[in-house]
Amino acid sequence: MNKKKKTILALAGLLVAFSILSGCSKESGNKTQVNEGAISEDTQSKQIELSVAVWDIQTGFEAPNAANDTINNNLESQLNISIKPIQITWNDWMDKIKVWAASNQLPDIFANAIATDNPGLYQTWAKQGVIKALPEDLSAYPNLQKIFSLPSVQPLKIDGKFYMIPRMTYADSSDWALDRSIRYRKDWAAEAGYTNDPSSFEEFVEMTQAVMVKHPEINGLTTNNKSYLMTQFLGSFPELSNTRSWVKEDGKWIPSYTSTKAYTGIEQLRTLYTNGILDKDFAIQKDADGVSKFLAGQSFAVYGLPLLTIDQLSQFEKANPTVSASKAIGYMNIWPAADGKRYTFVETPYWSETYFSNKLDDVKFERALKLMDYLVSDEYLVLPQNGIEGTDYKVEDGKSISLLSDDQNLGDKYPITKNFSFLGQWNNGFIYTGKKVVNSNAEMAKIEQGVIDTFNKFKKEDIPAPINFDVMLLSTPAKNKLGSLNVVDDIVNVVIGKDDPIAQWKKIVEGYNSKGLQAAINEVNEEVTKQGIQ
Amino acid sequence: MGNAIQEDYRAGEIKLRRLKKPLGKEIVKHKYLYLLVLPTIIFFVVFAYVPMYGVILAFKDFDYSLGIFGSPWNDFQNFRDVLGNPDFVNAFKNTLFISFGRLIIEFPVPIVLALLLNEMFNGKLRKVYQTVFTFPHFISWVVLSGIVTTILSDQGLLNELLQVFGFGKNNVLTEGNSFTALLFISNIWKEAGWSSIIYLAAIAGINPELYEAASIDGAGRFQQIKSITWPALKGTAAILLILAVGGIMNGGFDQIFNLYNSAVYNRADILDTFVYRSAFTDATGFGFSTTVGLLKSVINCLLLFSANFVVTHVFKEEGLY
Repeated sequence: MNKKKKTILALAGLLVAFSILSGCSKESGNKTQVNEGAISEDTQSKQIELSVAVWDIQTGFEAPNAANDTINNNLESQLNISIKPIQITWNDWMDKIKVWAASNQLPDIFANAIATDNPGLYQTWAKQGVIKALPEDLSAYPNLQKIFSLPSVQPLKIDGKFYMIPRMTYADSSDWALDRSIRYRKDWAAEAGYTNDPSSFEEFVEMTQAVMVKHPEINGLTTNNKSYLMTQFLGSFPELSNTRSWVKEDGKWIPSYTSTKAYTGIEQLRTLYTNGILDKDFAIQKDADGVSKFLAGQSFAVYGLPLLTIDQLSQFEKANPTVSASKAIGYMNIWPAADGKRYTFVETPYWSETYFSNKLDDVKFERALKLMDYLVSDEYLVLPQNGIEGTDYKVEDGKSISLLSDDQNLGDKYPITKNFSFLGQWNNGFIYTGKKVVNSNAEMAKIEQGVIDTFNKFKKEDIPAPINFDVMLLSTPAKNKLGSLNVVDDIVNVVIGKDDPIAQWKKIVEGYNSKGLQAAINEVNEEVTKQGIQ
Repeated sequence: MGNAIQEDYRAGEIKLRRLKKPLGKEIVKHKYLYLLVLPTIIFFVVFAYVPMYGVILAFKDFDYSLGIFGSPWNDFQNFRDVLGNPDFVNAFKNTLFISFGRLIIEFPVPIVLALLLNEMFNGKLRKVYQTVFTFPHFISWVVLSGIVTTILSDQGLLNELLQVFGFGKNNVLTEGNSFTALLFISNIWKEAGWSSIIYLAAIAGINPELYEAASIDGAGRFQQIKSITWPALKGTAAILLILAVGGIMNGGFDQIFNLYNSAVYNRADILDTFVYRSAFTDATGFGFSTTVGLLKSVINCLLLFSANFVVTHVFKEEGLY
């Protein structure tokens, strides 16, 4: 090959390589993206396709009855949109969305949980033009406006703007009351001579041990997953039931896990583990294994079974054929903390959010906001839970009664809505309103009534854990880096460890210093003073 | 004289040119062979070489709006972050420990297994053993981890047996030392049979007359292994050793990721699992994890060259190049 040919070949190679690399690189300069659409365009007259990524959305669209999902069909025709499902699952959602963000391939609308869990990334995405800011004037979207007027949502503003719609789990942060309670076998406790909630940790241990004597083959306590272990702190240091909380000690804000008040709960967990009450396998189990053990009659109590689904009920009935679940399973009102008061779990009323790609033009964005406004409206929120009034249920004497036959269920009838509806809200509190269709399964209906009664009892008798969300959601560079700490895993290691638990925990907290703990504390306190947070 | 040399030289050059046919003609002549290799070349270009441009993320402060090329350089800040991170140091140590453990403990097992299988007289039984040893290779770690966890859990088979024989329970999956041992043992169980195939193939290539001759000369089975089988296997073992050293920093992501838990992170978290967690579950970002990946590749590369050097120059065996 002569020199000329070699040169041509080399240049051609470089050109190909450059083309490939350019194709793989991101479009630059979208930070100051120009909105191409005209706001004045009549947006309703033109059908618009919106790509949406929400958990398991594809499964609904691929279901045999998808085309007959009346709720979704009505929604699409009413808003003149077509939904293009982009699949994410509970295993890959965080990974996929991060990769899509890095490669400029985000769907128009997508679910994620960074504003609360990874505020540094939320700020980065907002400032670097990955996600779209919501308009300051939301008067055209009254239902969204209601959410954004909530005080608990205000800390999510970045430079005065919101860049997401919080996905409401409950209407109020105190409505998480049942989410970190202990479910237990009331029948076994009564058999062992305990008919009331334990008044102290020691009494809980005695009660569990007494049950285990009568049922030597069972575990005393299992857990839905490792993070539910934090339930234990409600009975000693309620702030730490939420590991992201900060507390004020000696005039200074510190992460709750660094407080010396954490020691009691950690010691208690170690006691439960060494006494053989806490399931020895909890650290290696997969999510929900602990719940399965409880339902199978293999444990006396479980951390984390706020509601009971019909599938879980049948799992219980299969394993305990002679036992009535509504009578046998109860909620334990956790024993009083150091100040003598009983506390319930508290979280922001949302734990995940809906985002919009910054590539959306104004016409599409307006339609997307209309969609979101509808999804969080009172009108829509009833549909995925109860179905269509007159078709799927009717209201009699203030109670919603199902019109579905035994072989029908809403999930099969409206398969798209089943997963798509979560884009707007989780709406977990709907059951507490008493508007949910009375379950056609008599046992399930009793259980659900029990849920409502216990919720009201806890709300009345207990106190929500005192957590300051303004500090908890505060974003500073060093505090954001603390997101890489895995406090729950470290507590687990102490619980299953062999050395003195307090000494072990102190060592771990000291180790956090090398990961920027002190810098975070300093930054947060400076910011709190600056913002005048009380 | 001088002319004669020059003529010889020219003749040699012409001969060489004849041997070196133009690439185009060469490709046309053997077009079907080149067609066969084309998918592999495309695969490596698309999935191995093109993504390499992402490595520059390690030197940049990644800005989502500017992309990888447009992001500003960050003066080796990612390297400072990574090298100053105690979890990285821990993962690095674990990777070396586990990988060298694999070389020392796991690497010889398939060789021994191949030698043992070769010594079995009963052909049918040998095939049965070979199938039994090879089968676990085809089960994924996702499935195997479930089986292993069930057997080794607190109420699993192992602890039940230990209690029957009057021993205390053992939490293999949550204790660092026993977990590391489990990594080696379970990987031997899964892969030794499969890896021994290549050695068995090498053994099959040995001329049987050599064994007959050795037998006539009075050599026993062990002497035959020592003087005939092992020398024939040595070259294969050397190449596989170099490859194993080349992959030393990999440590076995699938196995560890599926088996480990937070209780054994300090002993089992290798660079690959650390990169995964830092990229997707922690708040460190892509620059950080790319830097870890780059450091891993550089160390791997150095080890590969070193292993090849040792094999070719110290043991005088044939290396990779």
